[in-house]
Amino acid sequence: MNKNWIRVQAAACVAFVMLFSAACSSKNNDNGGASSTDGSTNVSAKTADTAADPLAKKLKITAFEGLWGKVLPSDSPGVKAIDEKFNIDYKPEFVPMDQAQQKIAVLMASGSQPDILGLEGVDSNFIKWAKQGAFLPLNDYIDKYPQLQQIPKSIWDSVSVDGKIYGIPQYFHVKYMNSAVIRKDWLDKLGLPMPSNYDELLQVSKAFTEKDPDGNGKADTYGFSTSKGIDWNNRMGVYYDIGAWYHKNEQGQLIPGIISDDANLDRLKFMQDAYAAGTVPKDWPVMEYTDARQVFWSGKAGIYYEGIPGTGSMWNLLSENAPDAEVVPIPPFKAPDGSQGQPGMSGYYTMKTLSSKLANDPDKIDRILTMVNQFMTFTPFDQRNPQNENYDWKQGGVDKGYTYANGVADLSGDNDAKVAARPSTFFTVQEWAPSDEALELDKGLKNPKEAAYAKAVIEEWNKPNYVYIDPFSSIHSDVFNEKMGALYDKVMDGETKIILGQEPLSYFDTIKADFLKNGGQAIIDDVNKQIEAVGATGTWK
Amino acid sequence: MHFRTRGELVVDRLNVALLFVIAALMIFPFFYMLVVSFTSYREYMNTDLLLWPKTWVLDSYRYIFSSKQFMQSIGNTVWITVIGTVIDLAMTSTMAYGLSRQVPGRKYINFMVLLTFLFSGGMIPTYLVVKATGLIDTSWALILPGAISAFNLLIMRQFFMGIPNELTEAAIIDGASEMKVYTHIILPLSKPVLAAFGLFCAVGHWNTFFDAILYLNNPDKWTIQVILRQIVVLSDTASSLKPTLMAQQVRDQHLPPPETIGMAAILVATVPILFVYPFLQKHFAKGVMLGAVKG
Repeated sequence: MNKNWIRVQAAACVAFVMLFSAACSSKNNDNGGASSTDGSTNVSAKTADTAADPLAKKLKITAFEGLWGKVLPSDSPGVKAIDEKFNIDYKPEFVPMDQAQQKIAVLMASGSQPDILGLEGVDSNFIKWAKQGAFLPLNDYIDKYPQLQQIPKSIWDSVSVDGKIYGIPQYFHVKYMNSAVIRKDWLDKLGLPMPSNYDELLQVSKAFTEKDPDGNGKADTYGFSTSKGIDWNNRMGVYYDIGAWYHKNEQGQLIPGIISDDANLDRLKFMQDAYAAGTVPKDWPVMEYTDARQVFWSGKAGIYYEGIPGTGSMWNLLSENAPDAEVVPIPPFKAPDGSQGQPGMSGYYTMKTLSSKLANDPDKIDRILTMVNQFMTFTPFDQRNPQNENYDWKQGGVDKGYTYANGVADLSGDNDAKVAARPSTFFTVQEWAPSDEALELDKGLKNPKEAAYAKAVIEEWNKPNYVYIDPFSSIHSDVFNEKMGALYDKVMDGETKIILGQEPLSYFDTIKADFLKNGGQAIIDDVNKQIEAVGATGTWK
Repeated sequence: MHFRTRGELVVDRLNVALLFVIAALMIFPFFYMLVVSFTSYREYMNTDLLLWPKTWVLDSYRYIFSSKQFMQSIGNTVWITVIGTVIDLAMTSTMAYGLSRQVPGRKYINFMVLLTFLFSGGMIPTYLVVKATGLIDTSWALILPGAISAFNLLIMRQFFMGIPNELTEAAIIDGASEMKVYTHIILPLSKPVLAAFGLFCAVGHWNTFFDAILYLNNPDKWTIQVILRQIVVLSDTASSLKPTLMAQQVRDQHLPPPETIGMAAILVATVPILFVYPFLQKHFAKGVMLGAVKG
């Protein structure tokens, strides 16, 4: 008992010390900003002298960010090209994405904030730091840079805190979210129509399992594949999507699909029956996502999910294993409320923040935003060639950073030297496309099956009133960020039990009650309050 | 002489059989990794459970050994492990020896050491120290801050105190200096404890992961575990709802290399440290705590 008490006290002391040091370091930041005021007059005086050439002064610019891909050394040719073009000493630092948050927290608390800090999205830390004044408000700068003006207000709003814009969001398409795909060649072979509800989906799954669709005489195929965490939930449209804020509860509040009867019961019933009928690998609750994916792409399952652009290596694998394969998207099911569409995404992924210490260094702000502007300039598909100066430079030059053949630039990432030669590897600002269609994601794909599939997906998503714009995208809720992760995992555990037949379908009521009791209601209240405050509504586009 | 009864024989055999099963269970993952690392990616993707590849291919190893970053990180890790272990042992044993002798202020220093058990600085203060001492972006940041572990220090001190005082006294009467006593009497008598802690430290340094990410800015200096994670780590899907949708798509475009390469990478990164064990086995068998108990 005594020992425990000492531990508690110790923990309290440590927490206190950490709080204290955090407070100190943020104070230091302020001092740093204040003391450099004297210097700023000099700086602006100098700017006046050299106004003719805004790049005349060599500046040191530091950056930090998490990356999903491979991290390459920052003394690569790509960085040198950036240094030369913008007359800067650019010091980018990257760490693997899943470790980035922790390191960012340490950098911020220890007063080592870089000039440009990349964040994955709006989370509680971002809001906290923004409120503490760590980031530079960008409202006054946007008008000066044509590319920044392209970003729609709704997306600026989502990276703003108290009306101040603190981040430069990076483009990501709203359309084309990963969704259900099916082997059309299997459907045709067995003479089945495209499934349009969960009953038909079950029949198709059973036929894919029992009727030997690949014709090899062995019972080695599955209806569909999934992995632990129920990786894609067999969602067939917004109505059945567990992530969308689409359905309402009895009080008229918007609720997340994860606890909605409408979104879940048909879907869970289907998965329960499908599991009992053996149309999904029996060991899915312990399967990794990559193993489940392998079942489909090696040609052993008929239904899975995919987005565009997909993964080239997976398509090649399928082409090798099943040369006749034809993969098409399953159109979303017509829901009981008449809707038939897919959830849209928020329109950006990751963002860049600037340090508030730059406030007195207009030169540096201008240099950084000039770079952002340059990298953000969109290159239409038919201009992605060596003749387009900006594109060619961004990708490191033809035959050095990429290869160009038959009218298509090859930007594959399997050659380190090529990736390291590209400035775009080290200044990770995405081109901002005028529209999702302008990306022309179906072009330049090497695998013909993938190209045909991408074309079908784009056609599908271009139907009118197809994309649901979630009001949740316009807000950020601390309560959601803090509590949703754990609650989500718990719901998935419960759903797994239902699917395995360990619990009846009615167990979903228990899951729902648990969810609401353990913070779910607080999430719903907060999200609804925020949505009301910004006046967002769910709309179809 | 005691003859074993039938029952005892049966139990013995069962015991042996059981131990064999357990040993096989321990070895199987390594065997599986070995097999997969020598299989072609295509065969791996098309087979449910691989126990023996149809054709043996060296592609994965070719990929790894031709990757500059991989080899460089192994070099970094070997360096950190060797230098780090030597420094750990030197620092810990000298301090432990000092504290085992009647030096003035010993109680105070002991108290300071004990205090670190209760109050650890935490990540941010440690980062500040490393930053202030100019160690950021050098491999020393992975070696120096943790060179002395309070736990190891106290156990080693206890071990030294267990060595009969008469030995030390006799040496000093014969004119030996404290340094000579330490190097010629204490250290030779402490091989088991040095070997055991040496192994702990070496494994610890070999596994350096987060420190490398935290303190090293240049990926050229990263350790093998960081690179390994980039090669083998699989995306963790359902962690939170909203970011996942986009993160998942972005991730799908930056997939780690195929599993066969991952397996080869794990083997190459694990085998060197595994080889250290047999050489320290005889010391290790005597036990770490042995020295702390009066025999």
